[in-house]
This record gives sequence, structure tokens and C-alpha cells, in this order.
Amino acid sequence: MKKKWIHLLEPWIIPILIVVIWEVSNKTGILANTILPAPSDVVKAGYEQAVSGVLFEHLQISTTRALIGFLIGGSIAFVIGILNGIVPFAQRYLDTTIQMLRNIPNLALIPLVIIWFGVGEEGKIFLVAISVFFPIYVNTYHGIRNVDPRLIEMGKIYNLSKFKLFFKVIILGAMPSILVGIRYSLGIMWLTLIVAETVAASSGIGYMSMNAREYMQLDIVVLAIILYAILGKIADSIAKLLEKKLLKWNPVYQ
Amino acid sequence: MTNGINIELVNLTKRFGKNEVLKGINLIIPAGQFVAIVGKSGCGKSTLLRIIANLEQKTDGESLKDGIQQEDFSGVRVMFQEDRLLPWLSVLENVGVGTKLIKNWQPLALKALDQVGLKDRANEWPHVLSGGQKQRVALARALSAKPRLLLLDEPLGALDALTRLEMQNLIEELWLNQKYTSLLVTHDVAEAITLADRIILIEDGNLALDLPVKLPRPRTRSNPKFAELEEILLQHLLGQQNEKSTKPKELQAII
Repeated sequence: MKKKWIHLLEPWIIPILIVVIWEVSNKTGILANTILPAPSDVVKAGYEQAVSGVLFEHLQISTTRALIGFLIGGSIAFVIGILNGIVPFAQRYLDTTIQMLRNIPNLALIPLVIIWFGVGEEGKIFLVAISVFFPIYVNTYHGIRNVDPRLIEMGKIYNLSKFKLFFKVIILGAMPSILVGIRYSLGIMWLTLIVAETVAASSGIGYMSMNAREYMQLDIVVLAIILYAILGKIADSIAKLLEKKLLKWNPVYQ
Repeated sequence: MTNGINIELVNLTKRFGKNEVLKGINLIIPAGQFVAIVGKSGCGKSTLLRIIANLEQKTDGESLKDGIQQEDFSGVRVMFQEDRLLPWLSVLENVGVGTKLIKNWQPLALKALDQVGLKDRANEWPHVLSGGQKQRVALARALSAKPRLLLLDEPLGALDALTRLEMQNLIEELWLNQKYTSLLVTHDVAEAITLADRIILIEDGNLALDLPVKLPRPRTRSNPKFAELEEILLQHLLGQQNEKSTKPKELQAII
């Protein structure tokens, strides 16, 4: 029992140590406040922003953008990935095109997106959708292509209906790979949104951070960075939880 | 008494490109019979089984089940060398695949699982089972839908000697109970003699030997007739190496 507690604590020792050193250097004047505000100041800023409600407003806006973009891009990618994975005809027509587009850094589209959508919601959602599309597409497609053909042959010879063959053999077989795609795309999702919000937005955490920079409110800038870290960690934990739940048959995830 | 399928192969031929794997096989297997197909690796015995299973297209000739050319897999079950269990389904649901997982599959699957002695493992994942247990689950899956023809493609090839013997007993027992037609491809001569009513030897794509086995069941190696049969088959298999095409006909005449 005692050992378990130590194991739970272990990953946090270094982060805590860093924060403590950071705070101490600030307070002793080694690290100037104009370069990096003390953790306590960041917490204070966070508290003030939270009390005034501004923080949650920005948080909510950013999260909504992220989720809508993820749902749109992810579901299109999922459907096309499945289509290309099981219909050779579709694969011949679509895969090369998608692989070509995949190599465009999606942030290179920002100037175009600003011209198309201005600083409205659509632009950010569009960018997020594009960015999550590729990891989910690639991993869904490969997951399906890599399902053991001997298992599919077995399903066929055992007269499973097309529907059962699809869900019980192909989709479940591709699930580990699909989840890798989801996990990866959740990271990309925040990354893209942050950049998009810092470049072209009038709300959201990225905007909050850029706005604070104008007034040299370093504590708020750091607060925004920390929020991103937390949001990213939450997204990753959700993906991990999904893996644990959906892949419990796999000894690797037990 | 039997609900098995009878099989009729007429001049069955299979070519992969220029390579002729089966050179006109003629064979009739009456319903309910247990036939073992033996031969060296690459002789075409697995291809023969896969054509009968409709997993492979024949090049020429006929492969009839109950007198007709069947296109689907109804009534036919195959057990492969690998267990081919779906690792993401429970043991019970894997067995249920044999009944297509349609309405009320659970009782049937549970019964089949009970027959192979693994009822208490129903809710576990396949990966926790041993190799022999996995093959027993695969056997339960094959039998859960009451097949009329069971095709066994070296299903025991990857198991250790002791587990093989256990599985052989189980396969014999279940076949005696249910009396489906059974076709076993194996390179293990003793296994063929233990299980089969009749042993077919395939050599270079030809049917080289058709040997009835009239020993009382359950069969033991201590029976001198067992050793005699084993000797004939082994000599034949090994003899091929030197005199390729002359010996089969001689032996066929003796038998």
C-alpha cells in the first residue's frame, strides 16, 4: 500500500521541484519579474481572471472550437479511412490525393484562412478539423488494412453477416490503431488551435495571451501557457482512458 | 444416423500459373466418414482441402457436396492450424462466431464450450489460454453450429505431443457423437491412423493411395495392425524420394 503511494507521487516530484525553485528565484530576485513572473503571481492572475469570469469565457470558447473541429475533421477522416480500408476502388482514387495534402503543414493555411473566414469561428474550426483529419485518417486506414486477413477469412467461412464481419472483426481489429490516431490528433488539435487563436482571434485563450502581451501582463501569458498544458493533459488522459476501456483484451493495456 | 455431407471430386485440377498442384483428383467420400489426407508438405493436400471448403477456386473438374456445386459455406466448418480466435472477443463470444452471433447464440456456444471442457473459461480473453486450450475453443467454435462437414487443416500441428494426444481423443469423441463428415489434413501418419476410417495419400498432386483403416476404436499404437499401417504409409512417404512415379501404382495394387 505504501509503495503504491510512492509510485503515484513519483511523476510529480520533478514538476513540484521546478515550481519551488522558480518561486524562490523570483522572490530572491535572481529571476526578474519582467522575464518570468513567479508561480504565485500566475496563480493570483488565474484567480482574478476566474473570479471576473473572463477566464471561463475564454476557456469555453477555446474548448468549443477544439471539440467542434475535432468532431468534424475526425468523423470525416474516420469515414474516409474506413472506406479506403475496405473498398480498393475508393483507395485507388483517394489515397494518393490525401497523402499529398497531408504533407502541407496545416498552419501554412493560416493566411488563406484569414482571407476566407476573417477572424470568425469558422476559420479556427476549419484549421482544427484539417489538422485532426490526417492522423485519424492514416491510422484508421492502416488499422483496417492491417487486420489479420486470416481472421477475415475465418469470419467469412463462418458465414458472419457483412455487418458482423465489419464490426466484430474489422473495426475491433483496427481499434488499437484508430485509438493511436485519436490520441495523436488530440495533441495536434490543441497545437493548431493555439496558433490559430494567437494569430487571428478576438476571443479564446490564445487571444487572451496575445492581448496580455500588449500590456506586458506576463502573468496572464504564463497562465495561458499553463492552461494549454492542462488542457492537453486532460485530452491525453481521455484518450488513455479510452484505450484502457476499449483495448482491455490486449495484454499490453492491462 | 449421419447428417454429414457426402463429397464427390471429379477430375479435380488446380493450377497456380504453370504449376499444376492437383492433377485430376477423383474421390468419393460418403457422408459421415472420417478421412485423413496425408502427404509431404507441398503435395497439394491443403489446397485440396481449401478447394473443398470453397476457400480456393478450382481450375478444372468438379467438387460436389451432396451432388451439387455449392458456392457458400453452409454446413461446412474449417479448423485451421492457427486458432484464428478473435483476441478482442471473450472465449464465449468467439465460440458464438460459429453460430454467426445471431439471436440466442449464448446457450449454443456455452454447450459447445462445455463439450471441449472449457465452460469455466467462458468469460476470459483468448490470450490467457494455452495453445491447446485455444485450439479447443476453435474446435468448439467449429462445432457450435452443428456442422455437416468438418475440415481440419493440420489443426494440431503447432501443439506439443501430449496436448496433441488429448486433442485427438477429443476430436474422435466429438465426431463419434455427432457423425458429421470429417476431413483431416495432416503430415502425422500416426494421427491419421488414430482418427481416420480411411487414409488418402496425395503425392505430387495425384491420389497415390487410398487405404481403409479397419481398427477398432479407440485405437492404440500397441495394436500390431497399427504399426503395420504406419509402416506402409511411412515407407510410401519416404520411398517417394527415390522412385518417384513407379511405386504408388504397385502399392495401390497390393491394397
